[in-house]
Amino acid sequence: MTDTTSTTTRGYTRLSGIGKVLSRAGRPEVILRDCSFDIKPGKLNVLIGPSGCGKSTLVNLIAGYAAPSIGTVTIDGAPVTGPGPDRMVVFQETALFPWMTLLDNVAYGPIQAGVAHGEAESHTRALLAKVGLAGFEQRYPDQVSGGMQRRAEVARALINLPRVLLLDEPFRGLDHMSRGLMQEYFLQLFEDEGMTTLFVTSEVDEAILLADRVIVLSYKPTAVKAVIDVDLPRPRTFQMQTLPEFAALKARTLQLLYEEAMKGFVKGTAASAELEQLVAAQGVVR
Amino acid sequence: MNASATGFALRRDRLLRAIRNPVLWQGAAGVATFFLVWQIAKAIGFLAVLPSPLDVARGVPQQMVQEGYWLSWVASGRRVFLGFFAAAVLAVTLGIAMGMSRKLRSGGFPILEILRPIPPLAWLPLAILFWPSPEMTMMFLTFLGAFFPIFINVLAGIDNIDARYIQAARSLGSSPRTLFWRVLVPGALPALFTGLSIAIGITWEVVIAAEMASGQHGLGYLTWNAYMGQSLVGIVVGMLSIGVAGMASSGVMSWIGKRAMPWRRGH
Ligand SMILES: Nc1ncnc2c1ncn2[C@@H]1O[C@H](COP(=O)(O)OP(=O)(O)OP(=O)(O)O)[C@@H](O)[C@H]1O
Ligand SMILES: [Mg+2]
Repeated sequence: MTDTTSTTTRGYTRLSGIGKVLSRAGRPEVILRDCSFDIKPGKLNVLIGPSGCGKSTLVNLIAGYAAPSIGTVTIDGAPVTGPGPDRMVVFQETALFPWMTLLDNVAYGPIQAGVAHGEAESHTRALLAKVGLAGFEQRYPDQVSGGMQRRAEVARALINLPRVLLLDEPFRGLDHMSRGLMQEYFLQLFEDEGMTTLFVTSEVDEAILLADRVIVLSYKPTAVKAVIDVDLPRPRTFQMQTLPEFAALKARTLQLLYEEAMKGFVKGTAASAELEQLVAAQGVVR
Repeated sequence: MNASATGFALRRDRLLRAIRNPVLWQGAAGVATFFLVWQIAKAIGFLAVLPSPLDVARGVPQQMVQEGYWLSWVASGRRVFLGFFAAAVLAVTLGIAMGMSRKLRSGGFPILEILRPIPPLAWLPLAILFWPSPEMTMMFLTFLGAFFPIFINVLAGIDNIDARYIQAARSLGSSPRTLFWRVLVPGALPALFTGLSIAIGITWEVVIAAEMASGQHGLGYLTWNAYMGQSLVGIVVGMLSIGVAGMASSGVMSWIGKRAMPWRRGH
């Protein structure tokens, strides 16, 4: 990364009054309502919320894969109109191209941007080495472990020096051990580069360990419930999870999430009661 | 050591490894068992109409030198290859076009769905009337047999490319051209090869049936001719030749598939 100052000062992202209606099987549902928050430049912004509340939907809106039903997303003042290399997404499951080697995957962006092949390749090799993948450049994604895939994917995003790096539950599905290792890798990367980041997770420990700010979402229709500043010092270490400050932040976040999860749960039971009624009614007919 | 010597050593190593591979021997044992059971069944009086494997083995050289045997391979192979090749070109083109354009698909798909269930051999009468030569008739039938499986698989291959790959490619700033060549094409390749290997099997079925009905030369014709000449050994040799030809074609297909999709070597 040559131009670190720009990655740490660019990428101020504002979501204002976002509403999003999605319909499934012809039934519209309000997923997001009046959802507003900022992604602060040079910070590790974490987005946390109950499962199914619309975190991936928000990532899609910022990435430009979908447009909000109402409201605006701007990045450094410019409205988002579609996908582009100024915002890079690391997806929930790996989206490395299986038909390209790790080297070709990571070099893809720079080459599309017109960087000469030789230069793109040396840049890629350096970055892969930085995320611990030296010697694996010529492997295909299926030939490396899940953790290595995640790191290659972060590299594929970072090499484009995006204004904002969006990670949608990037370590979900990894076993406990690799998840911990990945968090360490990612912390180190962030503390070196300071790139503007939105990191989506549903794990409170992960959120607090990584974050400068934690944006807590409510349950559908989803908006921001609270923003918690995490002022634990950097560099962060795993040992910090035993600090009383960590425990206090965790308790606060959990409390907020618990209230929202309960809402979802109550809704769930209402639905299941309805279903039971339906089954009972059909039983009578039969 | 010079380059060709190393190349030779490498090839020899690979050959040695292949010979030591138990899978090869298990396969050979299976084939041997098949013929053994056949021979025994014949010896104890079952399978009265069939020649024994030994009779067949004795008859093979004679069958092979008979006029027209190798010509039959060439004739059938040519019909299969040309029909298959024409089908592949057209099916891939149409499949991609309809995979990419909603309009083309809604316009073209229904008629293809009506034509698809018609078995290639049901086209035989019309094809005989339409095409000026039996040769063209047979190639047309193999073409039909190969076209639909390739077409359907290419279409499905394009439809089923994970949306995340396309989203990632768009974020990474792909031009429409690179999106096509570096994402859509490789993404659809596994499905294409599934279609191709189904199609090559069908072309052999079709060509044999067509040759029995209206051919000159060809392995189907050879087998039918042996029946007409009441040569039991000839029938069996014809059938086994068809089997070997089909197996060789699938082998070639999967060899090409492996070369075209090096990322799937482990699968
Ligand atoms: N295409 C769609 N049509 C209708 N509803 C959808 C669609 N996609 C997602 N949803 C619904 O929108 C809500 C938000 O989905 P989203 O994937 O954004 O949630 P999430 O917070 O990322 O969940 P997860 O924890 O599963 O990743 C979910 O309730 C889901 O059922
Ligand atoms: Mg999600």
